[in-house]
Amino acid sequence: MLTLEDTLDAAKQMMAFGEDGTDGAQAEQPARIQGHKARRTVKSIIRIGNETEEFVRRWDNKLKLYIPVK
Amino acid sequence: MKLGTRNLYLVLHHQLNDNTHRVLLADSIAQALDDWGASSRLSPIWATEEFSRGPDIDCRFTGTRYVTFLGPVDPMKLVRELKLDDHRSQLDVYITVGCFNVIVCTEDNAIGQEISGTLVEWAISKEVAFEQWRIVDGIVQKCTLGALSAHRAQEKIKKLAAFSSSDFPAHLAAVLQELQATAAASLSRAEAIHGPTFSYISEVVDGIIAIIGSFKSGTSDAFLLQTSLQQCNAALSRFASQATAGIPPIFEMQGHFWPHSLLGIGTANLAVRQLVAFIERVIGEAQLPQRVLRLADQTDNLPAYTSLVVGSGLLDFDILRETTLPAVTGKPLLPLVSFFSGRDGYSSKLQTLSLPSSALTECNSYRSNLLTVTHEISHIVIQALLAKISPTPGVPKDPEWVSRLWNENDGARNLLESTRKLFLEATLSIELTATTTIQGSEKKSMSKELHELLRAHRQETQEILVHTFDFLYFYRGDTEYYVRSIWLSWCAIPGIEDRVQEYLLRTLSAISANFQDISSEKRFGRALAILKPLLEKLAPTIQYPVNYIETALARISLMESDRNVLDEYDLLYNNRMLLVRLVKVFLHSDTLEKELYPAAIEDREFLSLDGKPIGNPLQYLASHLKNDVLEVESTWLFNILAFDPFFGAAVAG
Repeated sequence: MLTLEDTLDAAKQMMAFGEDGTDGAQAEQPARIQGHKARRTVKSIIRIGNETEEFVRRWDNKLKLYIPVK
Repeated sequence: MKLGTRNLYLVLHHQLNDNTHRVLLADSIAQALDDWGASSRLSPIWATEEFSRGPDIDCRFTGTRYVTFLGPVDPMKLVRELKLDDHRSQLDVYITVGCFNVIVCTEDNAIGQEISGTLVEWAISKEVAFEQWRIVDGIVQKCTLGALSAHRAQEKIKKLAAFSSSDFPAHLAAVLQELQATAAASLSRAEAIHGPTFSYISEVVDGIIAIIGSFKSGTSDAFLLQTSLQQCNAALSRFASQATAGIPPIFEMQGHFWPHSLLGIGTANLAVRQLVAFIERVIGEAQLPQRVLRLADQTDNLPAYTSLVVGSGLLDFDILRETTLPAVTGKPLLPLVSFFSGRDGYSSKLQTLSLPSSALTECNSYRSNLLTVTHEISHIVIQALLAKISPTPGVPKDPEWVSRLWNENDGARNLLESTRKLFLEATLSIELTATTTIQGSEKKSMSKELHELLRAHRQETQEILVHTFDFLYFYRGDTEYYVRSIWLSWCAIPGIEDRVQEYLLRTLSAISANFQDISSEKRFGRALAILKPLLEKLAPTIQYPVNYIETALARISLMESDRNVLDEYDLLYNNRMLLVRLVKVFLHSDTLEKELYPAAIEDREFLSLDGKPIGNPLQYLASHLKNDVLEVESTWLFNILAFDPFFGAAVAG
């Protein structure tokens, strides 16, 4: 179904995430659904890679574009 | 030729006391299992209406009879070319899902002997495998074998055998040895019965050799090789033991799928291979993951952030039109190894595809719907796509583009990065609504390592991408057909009630690919308004103890009565819209979708085998989906799919 290159790329990423394949519906785990209302302001801090650098951004203006604010 | 609905079982007892083989035809499974021994075997077979002399005079093996097994072969090709219509009163023809899918029984008279001889001559001239038994009062007295031999397997087997375990890490020795033995058995058995199946297995083995080569050249590591070989070993082993059971000599080739232990399920395997090969030829050959990589060449007129995440400006983008691939020679795709498994059901790995054994008896039921393979194949495409657009733990170059795309509104330098930005935005927004903690009255914050975040939502993001991909390509955006198919298949799985709300979100998300052009304020309401009546129509048809559709409808009712619940779902739904948008804009192609449905459907009389092309396997199977089916319908459909002239030699890829 895939080229050798795409197969290897996908396999490497799956292994990096600790996966070994795609499972059907019977093996799926339910994702969490928690009760949250949309907030106007969200601050996120994401650490990327091994660097100590932290990225801080305000999420509100962007989020509003595709999430209706109640 | 039309299949009858009478279910018969061909039973073979190896009688150890006198070392003879006794054959009988049973009318029921109870009768078939009567006097069962350690070496007994059986397979279901189906009488044909035109070539059946009825239960009193058909092949009951009293007196002297000839029984000729042939296959895999188009039954109508055999009937027409041998003009069997001229001898209807002299023979019985049965159809099976085994590798030998046609069985012809004649009596030991002049005409019967002539027909039996002609069958053998025809099989030899057409390179069709066969086996013929002369049976006297139920005991096989003489056995003539007709295996094919092209002497092509040895070359490939030697190539694999040349890999020495001493050239690999010690922990790979066992898996390599298993591969060598499994591939040798698969290749030699396939060669003995069917040229196209041999070519297919050869391509699988070539793919495995290429993966071994990538390890030896240093482009992949030992763990990746181990995983790949283990998966291929397991799949190839199951394919070979299912597709090449019951081949010459039948006495020695027992099938391990016990309801088909006499003749195996080779024709069913072949039918699935045809279906998968058809999809590989369209979706696989398009190489969508490679095309997404090619988006890096597009650096002008990049979409601004706003038009990337909302609006209709990008909705006409067609990745097939916008990208070109370098010319590739040879066959670039690694074919999927498909097999049936009662344990694995419908599931896939990058190189393998499993189908539930229940599909053998109800492939056109909504419960075991053969078309579910499209969901599993979509998983494989999306896994390959994610490798191009999602950061991978441990890849040194990824943090640079991740931080740039996350911190700058228009940080994308090309269209590939725009795709990545859409994916990152989607993952982060799902994370924010799922796990952030509230700080102060109106603020939430989160702190998480990048890959922890990606890992946490990888399955859900993947499912939304897969559902949308499946919906747009394989269901052609037909909401009613899609909802009916996926919910009726979910309803057949016991014990997943706690997943219903997630399935509800996935359904709402996927069907929203049809209306990405409307505003986000209206979209969720539109999706609910479309889905609810469809579920209401389906709910009364569910006859299981737990009705997941009722559970979903109860959840929708709660949304309608409780604003907080509605807002909660609205938010979760809209977070997933960026993933739907990603598929709609950057993966879907109207041009490619049309290639999946190239011809109008050619229907035929129920249970009739006439050799006419079906036009399109996806549409043909879809048109035969029902709630309640007869087992013979699966035998009928497998025999149509396996030998449909529309596919040509698709088996070999």
